[in-house]
Amino acid sequence: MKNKWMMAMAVLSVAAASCDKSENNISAPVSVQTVVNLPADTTTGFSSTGRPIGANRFTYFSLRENKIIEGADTLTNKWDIAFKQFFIKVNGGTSATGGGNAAAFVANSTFENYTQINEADTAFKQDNAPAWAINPMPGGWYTYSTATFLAFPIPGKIFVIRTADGRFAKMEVTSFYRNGVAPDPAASPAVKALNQFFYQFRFSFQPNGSKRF
Amino acid sequence: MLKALLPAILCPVLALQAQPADTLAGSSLRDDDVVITATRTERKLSNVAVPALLIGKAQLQAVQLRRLNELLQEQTGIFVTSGSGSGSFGGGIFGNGAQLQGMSPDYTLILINGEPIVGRQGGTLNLSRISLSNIKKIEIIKGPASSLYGSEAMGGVINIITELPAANTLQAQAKAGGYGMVDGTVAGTVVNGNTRAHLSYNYHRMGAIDHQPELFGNQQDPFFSHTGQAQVSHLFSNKTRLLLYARFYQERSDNVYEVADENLNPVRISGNTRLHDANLNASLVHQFSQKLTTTLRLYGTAYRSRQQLFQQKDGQPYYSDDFRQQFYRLENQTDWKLSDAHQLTLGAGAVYEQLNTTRYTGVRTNTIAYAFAQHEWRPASRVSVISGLRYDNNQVYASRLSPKLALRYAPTQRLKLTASYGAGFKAPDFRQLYLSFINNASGGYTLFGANEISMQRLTDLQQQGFVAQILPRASDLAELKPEISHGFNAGASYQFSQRFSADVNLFYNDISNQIMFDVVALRPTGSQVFSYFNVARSFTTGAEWNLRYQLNERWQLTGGYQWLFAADKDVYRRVRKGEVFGRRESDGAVYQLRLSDYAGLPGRSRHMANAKLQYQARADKWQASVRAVYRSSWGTFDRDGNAIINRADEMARGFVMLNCTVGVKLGARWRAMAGAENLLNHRDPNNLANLPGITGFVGLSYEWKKQ
Repeated sequence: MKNKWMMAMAVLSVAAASCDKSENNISAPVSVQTVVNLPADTTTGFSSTGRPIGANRFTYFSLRENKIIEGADTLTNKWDIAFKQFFIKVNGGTSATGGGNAAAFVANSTFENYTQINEADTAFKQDNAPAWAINPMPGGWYTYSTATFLAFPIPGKIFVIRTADGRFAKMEVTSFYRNGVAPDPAASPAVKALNQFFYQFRFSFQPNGSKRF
Repeated sequence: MLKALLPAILCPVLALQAQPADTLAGSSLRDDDVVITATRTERKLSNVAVPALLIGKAQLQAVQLRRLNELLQEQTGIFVTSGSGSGSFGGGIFGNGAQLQGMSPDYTLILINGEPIVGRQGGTLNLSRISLSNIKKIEIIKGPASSLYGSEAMGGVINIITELPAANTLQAQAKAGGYGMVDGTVAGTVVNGNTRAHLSYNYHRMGAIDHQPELFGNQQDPFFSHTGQAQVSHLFSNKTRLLLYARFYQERSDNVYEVADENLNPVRISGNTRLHDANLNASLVHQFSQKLTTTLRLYGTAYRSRQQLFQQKDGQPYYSDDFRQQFYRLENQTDWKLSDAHQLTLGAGAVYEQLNTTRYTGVRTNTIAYAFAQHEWRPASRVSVISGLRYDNNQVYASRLSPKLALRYAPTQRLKLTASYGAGFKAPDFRQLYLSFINNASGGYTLFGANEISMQRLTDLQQQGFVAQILPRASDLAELKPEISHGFNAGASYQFSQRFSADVNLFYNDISNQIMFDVVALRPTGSQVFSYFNVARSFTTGAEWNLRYQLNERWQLTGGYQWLFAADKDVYRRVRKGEVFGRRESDGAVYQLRLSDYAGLPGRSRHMANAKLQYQARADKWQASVRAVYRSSWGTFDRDGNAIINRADEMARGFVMLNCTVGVKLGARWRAMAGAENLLNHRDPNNLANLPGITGFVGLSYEWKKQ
């Protein structure tokens, strides 16, 4: 399973898609990382009544390392954000492990246009179960259609993240489906279930502590 | 003389007069020019102050269509919605509904002889349940009309008036055509003294519509139906009249489709769906004097739909559903002509409704008591003012007051101006109140009717372990209120010459308290628990034009056009403020939406147009019609996550449908007919599941009438 995950997660770096224009020019250009097919509790089978079943486990991710964190490391502050179906937790507040101090909020912008965090620090929220920094409800940052049973991230919703170690990042989820291809609305529920919760996202991690991307 | 009595199915005053007359216009009426639905009293179409459409016998005969949905989709400003597509949606399950002025089919009240038809599935009343045989005319009122009709008349009313000939007749008709279509009708009338009885029977069959033979299953499953109707009228005296009408409908469709099991292997499902629908109404009309008439109506209807599905390989039950609805109504209407200038219509009634289905627990009932009043005032011969009010008091949801005001002014013989305001409402239906549905197949969501769930009940469910987490939204759970509409219409019609006339109507409908579902809790599995709220607000606005040009005695050209924009108010506001983004189809780039990117509510065409050329030879020998109907593209499903329609791939293709019919008289009693429909062969399996490809039919009819 471990290898499979690593293979599924092809990481592409798009260098210098945006750059820091801060006057003192202390930061290097922040690169945009693209992550494909990050599994987030994908469907492994169906109940006798046809309900899709997954392992009910989070997939932990480090923005600094740009990789999935596994095993005992998931109990440290090495991960920043974790995914399970539509649930996202950050390594802070009630979800914190290893003293993680991560927080996040959802901004309304395009990924490209969000070049600087202008929001006050109080905008950042930590997980406070059963409330979450990133609200898992449909209509918040994603939609789930009960007509088509398909889910999509809402365009223009950007996660602004303070990482477990106090750096900043911005993230945009672009699809929940395998290879970023949503099933046809007329496809069967099983086809939809088996292809969902493969996160496609891109992010910029600013390692130097600045709030500019 | 008996023929003169004919139009009076519901209108007491006219029924008892030798020569029908528009009670306030003072002129005599021709049968094909009269509408009853607009005011509940018979009025000349040209005297009606609200947008109304009349489809008469001549038009029905010219087109020779079989079902109501086929006829309505050729009319200006009526969008006949299609049941959703194939695959997991189960091939057009909710059937065809009629959208009036861009308002959802849920908001269109369908009446037969003034009494409502029940049995809506997912909110839509399937129009293909209604046979066009035995129909005298169809009246359509566009815009809210709850001031006369109460719940459901939120977007408009379609009233189907059946035939009751005045002489002994015998009729038979048979048609056969593509897609295995067979349609046969026999009907007869017996007139004996003061009693008239009319009986008719229709058989209709339609084969499967399957535009994707490479996929297992159909866009529309084959079905057949029987419709039996009986109507009796009896004059006890020249002041008292009894009318009985009975209808029985039975339909069966054979369903096949494919789902996938846990290993993605196809599982074939087959079974059938059976519908039964019975209606019985009795009305007693008594005329106390020339000025005062009262009508007592008793109506009952029962509807049942049963679906049973099995796995083909082993015959194991897969799904079964049983839905039973009953509706009873007692009503009195009294028409009181105060003077030449004033007429009052007063009414009151009570409704008892009952429903039980496998998706709800137990038998659900509702009772409604209502009263209405309408005042029609003609201060001058060219001016009329109609005001009305209705109060509905309900047992299970909030009560409602529905006013209306309509003005008509004819400055000249040729010009007529109208303006009207009407209120409409739709009561929360049983589904929205009582549904208790756990969908295990499609992602495992749970949907509760508003009366089935409360904060207290959620807390109980949490203790039982059914619910893991109650969400803040749950604190908004409250008694559902009716959905409401306010419609504004302004129109003008102008008679350019004997041959050429045109009319235009502008409309704006404001809809609020729309019932939508939202997530109130999460199950331990993470799946969502939904319930209903009065949340959404929307509007529909547009303009409708109609032209009628009589080229000569034989040729007639008519045309109609509707421009429409319908939008969710909150979405509209958010788009205007630049808060909504879209994802481009080509490269996935996110962009900020402008108002011009927002295509409005799904299922609405911006442009709809029709043109009809009709030919009628002298002495009725030949008859022909060619009809072109255009519908511009309309929104289907969101595909980029913003839950609105903003991309080309979220739209269904616009299309033109071309239909034609020709008929010829063979001797005195026989007539032969042939027609072709959808000549351009437009097909769209996903968005127009119920539209057959190019198809034709031939038919033969016989009519004997005692002279």
